[in-house]
Amino acid sequence: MQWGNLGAAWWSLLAAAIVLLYLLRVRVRRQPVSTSMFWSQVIEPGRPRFAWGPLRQIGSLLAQLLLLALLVAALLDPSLGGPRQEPRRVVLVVDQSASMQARDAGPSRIELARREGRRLIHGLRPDDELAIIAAGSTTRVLCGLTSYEPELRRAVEGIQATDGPGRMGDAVELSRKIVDQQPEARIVVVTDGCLAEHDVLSGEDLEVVLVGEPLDNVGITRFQPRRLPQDPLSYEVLVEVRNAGRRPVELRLELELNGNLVDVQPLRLEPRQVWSRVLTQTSATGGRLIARLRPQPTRSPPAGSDAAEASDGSGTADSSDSPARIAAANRRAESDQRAWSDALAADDLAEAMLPDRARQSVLLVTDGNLYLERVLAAIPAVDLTVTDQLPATVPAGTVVVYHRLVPAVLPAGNILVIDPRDASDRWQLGPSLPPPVLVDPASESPLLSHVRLAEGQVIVTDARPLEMTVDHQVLARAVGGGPIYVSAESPNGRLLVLSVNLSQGDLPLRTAFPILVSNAIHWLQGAADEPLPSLAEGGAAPRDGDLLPAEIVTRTAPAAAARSAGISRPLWWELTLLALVLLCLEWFLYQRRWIA
Amino acid sequence: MESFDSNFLKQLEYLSLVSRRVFRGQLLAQRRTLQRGTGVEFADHRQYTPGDDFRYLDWNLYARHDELLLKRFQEEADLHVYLLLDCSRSMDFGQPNKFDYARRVTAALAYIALADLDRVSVVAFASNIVDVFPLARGKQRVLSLLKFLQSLRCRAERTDLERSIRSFVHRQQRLGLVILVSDLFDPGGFERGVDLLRHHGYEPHLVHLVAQQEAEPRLRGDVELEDLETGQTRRVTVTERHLRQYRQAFAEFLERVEAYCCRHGLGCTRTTTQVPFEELVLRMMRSAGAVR
Repeated sequence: MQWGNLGAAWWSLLAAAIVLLYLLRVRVRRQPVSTSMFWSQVIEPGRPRFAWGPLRQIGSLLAQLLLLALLVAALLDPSLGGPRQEPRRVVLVVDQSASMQARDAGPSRIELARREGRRLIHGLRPDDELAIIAAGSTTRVLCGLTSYEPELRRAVEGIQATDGPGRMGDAVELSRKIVDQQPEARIVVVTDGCLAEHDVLSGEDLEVVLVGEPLDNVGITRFQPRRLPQDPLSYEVLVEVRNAGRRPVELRLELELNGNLVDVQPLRLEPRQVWSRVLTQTSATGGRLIARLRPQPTRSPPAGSDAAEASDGSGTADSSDSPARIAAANRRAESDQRAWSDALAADDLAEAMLPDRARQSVLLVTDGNLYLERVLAAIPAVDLTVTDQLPATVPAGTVVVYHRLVPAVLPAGNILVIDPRDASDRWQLGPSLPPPVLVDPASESPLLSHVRLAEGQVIVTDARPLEMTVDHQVLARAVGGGPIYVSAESPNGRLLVLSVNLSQGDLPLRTAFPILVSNAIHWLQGAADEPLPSLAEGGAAPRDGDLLPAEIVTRTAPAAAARSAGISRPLWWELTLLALVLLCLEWFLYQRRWIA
Repeated sequence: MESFDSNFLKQLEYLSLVSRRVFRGQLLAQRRTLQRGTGVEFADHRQYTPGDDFRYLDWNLYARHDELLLKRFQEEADLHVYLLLDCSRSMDFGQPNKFDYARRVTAALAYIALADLDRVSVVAFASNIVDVFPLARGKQRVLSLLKFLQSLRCRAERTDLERSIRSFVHRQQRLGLVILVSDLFDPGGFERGVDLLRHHGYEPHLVHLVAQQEAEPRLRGDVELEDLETGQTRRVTVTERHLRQYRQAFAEFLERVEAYCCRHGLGCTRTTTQVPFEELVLRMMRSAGAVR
């Protein structure tokens, strides 16, 4: 037994005053009555008022002395166990990782952690100080060392679980710095034990309060989309799903873009299995990309039963895509979702923003070619402008396609030249070749991706060899002739020249032609080899999907032991409550005159 | 005259007017009595006995039936109203004071009787008769009656109804209506005294006064009870259970009074001092018949 306020013992001198008042003779109040004949019927004359009459006064005295003793004892601030004389310095570290959102049988783990915090604040003595640290993705000091209870309570109530991992190591290190060299310093860590760096929870000054129970969980632990460098219309998504439970699960992974389902992956995961996959999809538009874990749908009931139930006898239930059947399927899906219980809902869904493909202005200078116009217009995200006059100026960022009409001096910028009729400052044209046979020495180039020009795949009847005056790369050449498709890069911009007459041969009729033009436009845009950034959200770190506490943590002190060891609750509250009960009892006995 | 101020006199006049309205049509000062005498109104016959006055023999009846019968007549006389006012110490209790209330009621009843040309006498008693206002008639005696009432004080004596009424009935006086204004707190029982009135041919009517503090005492804890009549004191510890028992005993006493009056056909008006006295008098006139 320790006493926190021995100076309050002086209050016990009040007992002398109580005894003095007891010794004084109390003058009984005189009450005149018109007649005593009724009182004589009620109270027989000569009969003692109480069998224990002489003890009534003593009983009252003892009750008041006991009441005083309880109040003085409460003022002495006694406590059981723990160091009592020195003020304590306590740091409360609360795990804010995503796993703290898990709900066990009752409230969430973060709510249990808040309760532990309130209990800790309630147990503080007037001289004790407490600091509160939140261990989330970043370590935050919610409240410095203080004994001001309202501030501490505000800090505890403001603790929320995050969607990220908890950096417990940093938090514990910061806590040790806060209470460094302080006597009676303690660090109380409230966590569910699902930590990647659980080895930091050791030390004599550390007490771990575990909240929650081990739970099975399946979660998305990685989710990262990106635009493909080779194909601006396509994107790929890295998804990783982890079964952190102790039982195999069957479920499916759904991928949605702007609310439209784009992919479904059925999964069967063994305990502790990690499933990782890169999914490739095509979309010119970006938007909100969502990966969601859903339960495997239950087997549909026999044909007609569910649909007939929903069709209200309309007779259309046998149609496979009838609204009634779709509605029944939706109800089954919702029922499956409700029936599928996952302890941590936060990692069942991951979101990311897929960037839009940037639109490209293309200026086509041609004396007329329907194939070329249609191909350019069909490329997504291309704003096409057609003219038959050589432009005086070219807007910045615009890709200019010269077909047959070529200026003597090419402007700065990205330029595609098809079937030039004249030479320019960057090339000279050779004589027209006999029907050439094309070879594509640079078939690995992204400009020729999915395009086969060689080996007679394309018949070209009219082409002129190019003699470039700048550094260039030959993409395709005629056998025995010169290059007919070249690329060049300079500080002024990129240049592609294809010296094939589109009106002769079957190149515009081949599948390769729109791909060739699309590759060329994309290359001229200039960002083809840079992956477009995307913003990922949701999907916790691998350890955070695991709701099974680490073994090292389970060996630490349980909550009750931690509380009894260092954070003992003072007894003044119980003593005051007992005094109040005694006061009520004394009042009750006095009202019935059992005591005087 | 604090108790009988001008407002009080106005209320008396009002009660007198109300009583006249109620009993309109009857002859003032001519009340039938139970006495047979020399009035003009035939009452009945009785057998002739030697010594009777021959003038009252019914000769017609003798001629028809050959039987001597004497005609009897109902004597008409003034009504004698005797107001017996309890002046014991127990009446000096309560808020409003029971004795003041009793004097007001007595004054009101006497005023009404005097206004009706009845003969009124007020007899103050405690353990015995302490003072008497002799029989008086006419409204001109009202002021002297009020002075008499105001001069009365509560005696430090206990109530003894039997002794007081025995002294009252042994006086040489005519029979009449006796209105007993008292709290009836007689340790020997009020019945004996009222029985004397009945047995001597008076018409008793009880005006039973009760103070609110007597019906619902607010005593708790250790108190020293002082009996106002005897002066005796007694230390008691009053609990809620005692209060319940007291209320029950008091209720039984009230029931005893009512049962007695009902059994003997007596008028009884019980009231607390919270009720205005004029309301009590009107209630008596209209329901109990104490004032005709």
